[in-house]
Amino acid sequence: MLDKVLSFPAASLHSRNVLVVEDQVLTRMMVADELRRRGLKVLEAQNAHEAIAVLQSQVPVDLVFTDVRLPGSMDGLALSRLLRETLPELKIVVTSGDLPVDTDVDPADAFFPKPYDLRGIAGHIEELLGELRR
Amino acid sequence: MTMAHQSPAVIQTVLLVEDEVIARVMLAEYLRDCGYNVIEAADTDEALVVLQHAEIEVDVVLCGISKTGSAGGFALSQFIRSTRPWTHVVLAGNHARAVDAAGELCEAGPTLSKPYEPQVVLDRIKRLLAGRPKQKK
Repeated sequence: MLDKVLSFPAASLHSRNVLVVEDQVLTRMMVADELRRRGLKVLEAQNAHEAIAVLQSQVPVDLVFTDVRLPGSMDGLALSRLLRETLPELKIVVTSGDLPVDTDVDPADAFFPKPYDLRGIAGHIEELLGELRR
Repeated sequence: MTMAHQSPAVIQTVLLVEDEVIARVMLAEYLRDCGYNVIEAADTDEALVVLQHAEIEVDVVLCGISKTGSAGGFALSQFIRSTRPWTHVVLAGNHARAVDAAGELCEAGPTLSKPYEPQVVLDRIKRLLAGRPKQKK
């Protein structure tokens, strides 16, 4: 494990890595900026296929924050189900402006309807990451 | 631990336009480690959305692609020249040249630290791209 982390000189052993999956560039930028301000390392993907490409690489990811509505053949819920099956330790947070608050988003650790409170979400993500041990 | 080239630099913003996600992630991380604020765009359409917001400051546009999005890199460059003539545009066209351009930015820009060479970034991108299954766009 250690050699994978150290193989990229910039990688920090102490930082937690969050993958933000969102096709609206300004929203993605806003969320990523808030998380980076809190000291997290943030990776960005425009759609589910980009997210899978990142997760299939050696880049470590601790939590995926994904919108439900994504371009392409896979939406955020399908991505979440796939990730829950294949990477059960990964934390998953789902957001959507289309789903009712009481929608079953079983694969996710948390669901936030849009519009959301950015600081609230960032705080929740930090809490979820705090549950992880590396 | 004093480094002669380090200075309390003003953080500049790079808009990185790159359609290959692994290359984008690695390049963005490299530039952030050099002290830049980096906005990531997956294609030229996303780049245009960012640039149409005048309140978002962009000092440099580094475009690692030529065709993805409804506007190509050249059209993007023309848009920038007409709306933000002070913004520096680098049309790299591929990963290797984008990494070189990022390395030059790190040499000339707000270098908070320079932890590794551009070639390391390029090698890392190649390894990651080679190590994963092909994805359909």
